Formats: sequence, C-alpha cells, structure tokens
Amino acid sequence: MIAIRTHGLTKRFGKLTAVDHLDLVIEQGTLYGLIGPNGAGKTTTLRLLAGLLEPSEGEIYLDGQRVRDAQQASRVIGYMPDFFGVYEDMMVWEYLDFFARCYHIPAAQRQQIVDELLALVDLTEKRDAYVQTLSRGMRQRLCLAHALVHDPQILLLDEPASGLDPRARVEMRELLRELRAMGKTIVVSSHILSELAEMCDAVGIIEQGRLLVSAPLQEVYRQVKQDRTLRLRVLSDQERAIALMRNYPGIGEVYAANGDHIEANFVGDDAATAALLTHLTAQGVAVVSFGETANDLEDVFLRITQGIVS
Amino acid sequence: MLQPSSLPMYQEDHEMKIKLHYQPNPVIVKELRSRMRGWRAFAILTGFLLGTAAACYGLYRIVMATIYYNYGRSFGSPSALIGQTMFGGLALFELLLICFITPALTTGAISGEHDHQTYEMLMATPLRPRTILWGKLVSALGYIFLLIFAAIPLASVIFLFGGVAPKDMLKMLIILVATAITYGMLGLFFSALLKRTGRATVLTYAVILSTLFIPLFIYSMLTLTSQGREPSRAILYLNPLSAIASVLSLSTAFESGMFPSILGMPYILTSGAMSRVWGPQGLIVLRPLWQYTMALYGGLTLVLYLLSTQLIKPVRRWRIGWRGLLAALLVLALYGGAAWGGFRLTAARYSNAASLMGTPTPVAPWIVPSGVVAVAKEEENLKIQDQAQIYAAVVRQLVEHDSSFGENPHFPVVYIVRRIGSDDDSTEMSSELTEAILEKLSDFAASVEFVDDQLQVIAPTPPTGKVLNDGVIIILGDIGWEDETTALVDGSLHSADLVATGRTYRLQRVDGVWQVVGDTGTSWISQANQGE
Ligand SMILES: Nc1ncnc2c1ncn2[C@@H]1O[C@H](COP(=O)(O)OP(=O)(O)OP(=O)(O)O)[C@@H](O)[C@H]1O
Ligand SMILES: [Mg+2]
Repeated sequence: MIAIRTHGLTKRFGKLTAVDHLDLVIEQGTLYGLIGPNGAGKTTTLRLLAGLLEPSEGEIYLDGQRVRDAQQASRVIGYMPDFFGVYEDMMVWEYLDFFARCYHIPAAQRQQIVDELLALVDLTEKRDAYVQTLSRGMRQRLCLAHALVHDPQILLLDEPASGLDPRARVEMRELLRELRAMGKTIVVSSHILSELAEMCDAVGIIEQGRLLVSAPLQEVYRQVKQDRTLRLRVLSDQERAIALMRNYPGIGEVYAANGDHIEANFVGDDAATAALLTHLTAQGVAVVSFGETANDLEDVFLRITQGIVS
Repeated sequence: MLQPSSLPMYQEDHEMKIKLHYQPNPVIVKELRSRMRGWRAFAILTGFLLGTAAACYGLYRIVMATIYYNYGRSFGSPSALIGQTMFGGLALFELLLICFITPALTTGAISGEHDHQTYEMLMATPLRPRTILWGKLVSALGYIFLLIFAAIPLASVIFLFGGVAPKDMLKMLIILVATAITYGMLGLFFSALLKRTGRATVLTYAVILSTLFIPLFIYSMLTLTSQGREPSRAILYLNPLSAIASVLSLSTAFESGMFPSILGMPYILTSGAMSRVWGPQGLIVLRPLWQYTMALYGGLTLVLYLLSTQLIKPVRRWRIGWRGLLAALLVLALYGGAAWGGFRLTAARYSNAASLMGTPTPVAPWIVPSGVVAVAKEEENLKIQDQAQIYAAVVRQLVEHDSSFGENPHFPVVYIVRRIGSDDDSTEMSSELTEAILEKLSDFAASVEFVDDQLQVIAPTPPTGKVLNDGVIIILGDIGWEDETTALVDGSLHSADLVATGRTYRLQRVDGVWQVVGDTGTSWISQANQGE
C-alpha cells in the first residue's frame, strides 16, 4: 500500500521554483530518506505534505486520499519542523499535554500518553522541568514526541538529527527504527546521506526542487556501483595497459597512480567489470591486482548532485 | 527504552470518545498555565489594586481640595460629589489601564507563535483557527477582566459616598468590558496580520490612541469653529471616553459644575447638549453615546474576528468557500439585525431624539449650545397648568418627604425662587405660572412665597446663612422630558445657605394629574459641619 503519493507537486516562491514537479511514491511502513543539499527544497516538500504550504501545482495523496489542507493532513501526519521553538514557562509534561489536547485526546488517556511518550524519547526524568531549560538534543526528542501524541501513521521529520552529538544521533536512529517497527511510514530529510544510509529503506535525492533519484536503498547502491573507480596493478608495461583500457567501452578517465597502479573510471555492472578483466588478461597484460575503490554514499551523493548547485 | 507498541494504550482508538467529552480550549489551558505561573501575575494584580486604591484616595483629596478652595471649609460634606467624582475617575483610570494593558497582552498572541517558531507545530494540529483565536482572546482578556472585576469591591466604596446609581455602575462595567474585548480583538488582528509582535504593538497603540483622542480633538475644533452649533455626535461614536462620559452626564445632576474642572476636557465635551437637547416639547434626553459605541464595537469585534480567522490559516487565506462566506454574512446580518432591533425597541424612549439624529448637520436651530440650559420659547407648547402642577408636585415632595429633616418637618414658610435653571442662564417664571403654582399649593401647611433670589431670604447677620423666619428655600430646575408623558425636574431644598438636599424628580401624568413617580440619578445632601 502506498502511504504518500504526489503528482506533479510544484511550489513556486515568486520566480523561484523550490519544488519542481515532484512525483513521490512512498510505500507504507518504509523509512524514507529525503536527501539534498541546502536549498534543495526538502523542507518545502515536507511542509507541502503537511499541508502547511499550498502547492502551486499538483496533488498530494495520503493513504490514497487527496489532501487539501492542514486540517485534513493533521489527523494522519505527525510533523516535526527543522527549526522549532518551545513555549516559555511550560513544563515538559504540560508541553505534551497541550498538544494532546490539540488533538482532542480525552483527559483519561492524556496523562498516560504523555508518560509513555516521555519514556519513549527518554525524557521521563525531565517531566517537570521547564521546556526552555532542556538541551538542544532533549528539545529535539521532545519535539519528536509531540509529533506522536495522536499516534499518526505518517511521520514527517525535517532534519531530526541536526545539531545532535554522535551518541544522540545513534539514539535518534534507534528511535526511528522503533517507530518503523510500529508500522509507521517515516520521511526523514537530511543533507548528510551517510546519516541515513544504514537505516533507510528508500531514499530520494532532491536537487533544485527536482527529484533525481527515488528508489530503494539497494537500487541506489546498484546505480552507484555502475559508476565505479577501478584500481589495478600490472606486472609490467603499464603504458600498454592504459592504452588498452582507454579503448575499452565504458571507461572514462584513466591515469597512472602512485607506483605502478592504474586508476580508471568505469561505468558498468559487475559482469562488465569481469569482462574488462578478461579482456586485459586475454591481451596479455599481467594483472597483479584488480579491484575497485570503495564508493560510499557520500561519493554518490556528490556525484549525482555534482555541479548542479554551486 | 520502552516499546510503545507493547503498551495497550497506544493501540486504543481514541477517535470514538472525542465527541462524548467536553474539552476546554487547549489554548486557554496552555496560556493560563504559563501566564498565571509564579509571582508575576499576582504582583501585577496587587500593584494594580494598590494603584486603584491610591487613585480613589487621590480623587477624594482632589475633590475636597477643590471644594475648600472654591467655597471654603463651610461647604460641609459634599458626599455625593465625592462619590460621583470617584466613579468618573475610577472609570477613566480603568479605561486607560485597559487601553495600555490590552495591546501588551494581545499583540504577541499570534505573532509570538511566529517569533518563537511554534506556529507551524500549532498549525499542524487539527486545532481550528477560530479555536486558536478564541483561546488567545479569552486568555488575554481573562486576565484583564480579572483586573477589572478585582477592582469592583474597591469601587463599591463609591456607594458609601452615594451619588451613583448601581445601574450606572453596571453600564460602566459593560463599557469597560466591551472596550477591552474590542481592543483585545484589534491587537489579535494586527498580530495575525503583521506576524511581528513589534509592528503589531505599535499599530495597535496607534489605533487605540487615535480613537481616544482624535474624535475629541475634531469635535472640539468643530465646536470652536461652528459658532454655537453642535457638531454631529457621530464623530464621538467610536470614542470610549465619551461613552463613559455619556453615562456620567446622565448620572450626575443636570449641572454639576464640579466635574469639568476636575477631570477636564472629555467631560466638557460630553456635558450639556451631548446628552440633552431642547426640542419642540422641552428638554429631551438623547440616546446616550455609549449605546452607539457599544453597538459599533460589537460589530467591529465581529468583523475583526472573522478576518483574523482567515489570517491565521497557513494556506488558502482568502479563498473562502461559499459556505464560509455565507456563514460570515449570516453572523454579521444577525448581529446587525439584533442591534437595529434593539435600537428600534428603545426608540420610544428617545423618540424626539431619534428624529433629531436623523437631521444632518447643520443642526436644527433649537439645539442649544453646550453648557447652556435655558427655558426656550417652546414654553407655550406646555400649558401653564401642566407646568404649575409639575412644580407644585415637586415642591410638595421636597417639603413633605425629601427634606431630610425627619418625619413631618414643619416649616412656617416656603420660599420658592422665581429664577429657574442654573446661575449663568436662567429665566424667571411668568406671573401666570407663579399664580398657578400658588393656587395648586393653596392647601399647603406652610405659607408659600416667591422670591427673586435666595440671597434675599438668607440671614446676613449671625446666625449667618440661615433662612429667615425658619423657612426653607426651594430652587427648581427646567422641565425636561424623558418622553411625552414623563417629565424630569431638578429640585432642591435649602434650609440654610449650605444645608441642602436635591434630586432630579421624575413625574408622570396619572389620571390627568402630574405626580412624582420617582427620582433619577442623584440625590445629594450637604450639611454644614458642626465644628466649622
Ligand atoms: N517562504 C519562502 N519564501 C521564499 N522562498 C522560500 C521560502 N521557503 C523556501 N524558499 C526557497 O526555496 C528553496 C528551497 O528551500 P528549502 O527550505 O525547502 O530547502 P532545504 O532543502 O530544506 O534546505 P536546507 O537543507 O538548508 O534546510 C530555497 O531556495 C529557499 O530560499
Ligand atoms: Mg530545510
């Protein structure tokens, strides 16, 4: 089942097109990472989904229902903005209690929900502390808790890990996994791909408002793997090996690296890579080692978005 | 960490119970929780009450000082005057307080959510804009109302002094509350419109100060330049100061000269012709200004409320569906209808006034300039006999019931001053009238004499100030009209220069005879201090 679907979703601010004909499809129960550099349109996309902005064009469907305003979206969506403030002069439990009231949760259940959420985000000890005295990370978790008071099926989290220390990041990730285990659809935005790499089921890469890639993580990796850097060492006659490779289809730049290593950019899947090796040995090149340098998601990200944003 | 999915609560469906429970507005709960927290709210309340008490005491001292300055210590105890001045002063004090506190409490209400970056989170909840607006309004005004109502026990000191009817106190409360609501709504509107607390605050104060002073300024300018013609009262409709003054001017004696000198311009502007004019049938009471003010404020508040609910929405601000539009129009039409109906129903009370109000400026020539109250040429419209009956009834009432000299006082002689009206503008009773009055009082126990001036019958030698022959002096006012069958007359009884009692009597024609049916507004009593 599809939890979120957009159709030609576009948002313009004057001349600037912040989100450009976005066709997003997110399966229910997935943890979806929305990745893009600063100003790519991630926040705008999430705000459109939450009904806080009006699309210039296009439609949004949540759980198959066309959504038109925040009222309607609010029942299925829990939204955590990227920048948020806290009310002064309010205790942590009151803060959650307030949002529980906003979602019309009956008095009998409010107290319990507040306590459960505090336990979930590990703030039980801070129950009676004033919100403005919380640390950044605690506020972040409190804000996440506020998005959960009405037990929404869809969570939109805008950079939930920004400003957190490594340990807190790990905890946040744990929390998100837990929420996914509860069957929720979670959209997380970030400009750091590696942050999301281990936990996301699918990622979308957005750049200048356009969705460049939107696929399950494995597939993205596979796409990445087609564009790889090969690294080999030959026993002798390095020039000939380089010349041979230059003429091979799919090979980009080839250059001699330190010592007798050769590095080459190559577009092709695993089979094509194997075929290249066979080709070299068949031509009598004595290959000592043959492999690829590890490309992490960060490289992919950089490569995909290269040059588009200054 | 807990596994929330394992907790039974979390899986329960709370949707079902939503409609069964009444829930207080979350915004109100939240605002009150944080506003009433700690010592600040109570410190302000305490400070306010102390300030009010100090203002009361200050007013008391001012009245006394003014009286001693003007009349010397022999004036006695001007109790009603103190009560009225305190009443007016307190009302003014609270009004100014409302004008200055309300913006401070409301202009940050919506913009504060933007400033604190909490707006989006609030908007992402299913709270409706009108719920948010209502919550903000109620919680801000709740605090102001607390201040206003906390001052009521203090204000009831006024009743110790007398001179103020509880009904007028109630009217004043209505004006204060309505002004607070309107200004509160104005603050919320600018807060929602501008999204910045600073700008909203500046603009709200600017508008409030304009409604406070610009109409008064324009009105006084027009009065100065229009040579005795009254400018249209509509200029003052939006002004809360003149609303308050319109309650005061009806409440206080027709010409109590004390107020203007103490409290200044607003009262000068709203005295005399503001509330009463001379019509073809004599003095008539105009619909008090505050009624127009309240009707307009109600409408203004409604319009601002409806606009603000649109302004709060994050999206689709001005694309209102036909349903919303229809509902808004219906609400406004209902309000307009109710206000119109109310004015129609009470029109009879101000029937003459109503036709007056329909006359555009330049005003009809028989509107007497402010401060001038004189018996006009229309006297002949009222038969001498009627006048004589009315005055005779008042004299009887004063001497036999209201002299405040105990049961059945016996005065050998009653002097009636022939001069009617206030000192600077008075007319003499015609001889036909005095004769008719004498005839009506022929069965009176005391002998009745007309004198030209009360000084003629006040002993010039010790005991100074006493009325000659142990008599009493009666001074009568003009006959005013509440409506065609109800007359209002001022009457006072002096047993010495500064020992007097006075009231405004209401008379009605019952079976062809004019009878005193009550007195409106003030009764005042003053007595020389024994020690002085
Ligand atoms: N309210 C607005 N008015 C005008 N332009 C806006 C508005 N909101 C966003 N933009 C523009 O839209 C573009 C996308 O902004 P957005 O905030 O969605 O980026 P982002 O991907 O969230 O960036 P970041 O990683 O920095 O959070 C930016 O160029 C931004 O300047
Ligand atoms: Mg962003």
